[in-house]
Amino acid sequence: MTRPPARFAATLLALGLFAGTPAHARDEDYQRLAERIDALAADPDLGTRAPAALDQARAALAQLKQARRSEREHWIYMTERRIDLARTSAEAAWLESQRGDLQRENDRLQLAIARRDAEQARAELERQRLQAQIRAEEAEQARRDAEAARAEGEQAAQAAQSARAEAEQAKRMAAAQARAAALAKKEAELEATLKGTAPAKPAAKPAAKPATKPAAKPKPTK
Amino acid sequence: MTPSRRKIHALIALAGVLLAAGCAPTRPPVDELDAASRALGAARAADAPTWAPAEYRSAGQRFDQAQAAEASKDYDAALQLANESQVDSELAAAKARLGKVRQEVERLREENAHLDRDLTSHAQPEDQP
Repeated sequence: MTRPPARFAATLLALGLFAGTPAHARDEDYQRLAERIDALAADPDLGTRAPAALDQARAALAQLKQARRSEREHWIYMTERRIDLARTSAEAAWLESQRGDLQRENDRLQLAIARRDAEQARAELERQRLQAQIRAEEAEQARRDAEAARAEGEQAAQAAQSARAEAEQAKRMAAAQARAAALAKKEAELEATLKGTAPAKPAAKPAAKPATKPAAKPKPTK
Repeated sequence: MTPSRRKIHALIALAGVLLAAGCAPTRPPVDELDAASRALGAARAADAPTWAPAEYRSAGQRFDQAQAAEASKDYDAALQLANESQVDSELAAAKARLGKVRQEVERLREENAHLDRDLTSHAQPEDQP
């Protein structure tokens, strides 16, 4: 028959040794955490982005494997957090890589737009230059047309003035001829009166009678 | 006392010593508390209160608990809580970094899409005869 004190002592010893026993490798938490680490390591985008953080997660998992029962919750927490940290760091590194690509794309687009704007500005400048040139040519043509019209007007005025002068001259000549004719007629009448005969012909042709006294030469009228 | 009983008592004593050596606090976790404090400051500097409030709050609470445990000379608890606070702070800082870079990536994506539309819409009329 076993003695009670000895049995009690053996139970205590067994309990004490069990409390210090490391967690078993087939522990469900251990398996779950190990699978999380393996999944992260196998991720094609994230697996190699945070190797140091992943190593720390593996180290925490190793501590969990060796942990006493009283430390298990602590090392489960630490391993969970280390895995979260490794994944977060890997995602940040991956996004930073994407940000670099996006920034280069942004630079390329900005440059393309700046070139386009410069090209548009050059085209607009050329268009305005051509318009200014066209306007200048139209103004020059208008000036030439006006000059020609003005010259033509002057010529017309001058011609009109000449015509007026000629008409005036003709009028004066006609008046002079009329006076000459009147004087000749009067001379003839006087001559006829002196001779007692009526004048046969008007004094229009005083030069036809050279035998008589020559008629007075008509003075030019003013 | 019989020899077998003496052996059993010796084994119990040995087990007690081993348990005491394995579980009992050894020294105040000064270095770990310092590291946790620095990590908490780094997380704060990284805007973790904005980007990872839960993790930052957890880090702060565990740091307070670690200090309280140290004050009550529960060094094991102080050590564990200091380590947990440190990893919480590191996670909070990492999440803040992730949040910022994610926001920047989204901004660049939208801006690039806008620039691309701008470039395409202005290029089409010029391509037409």
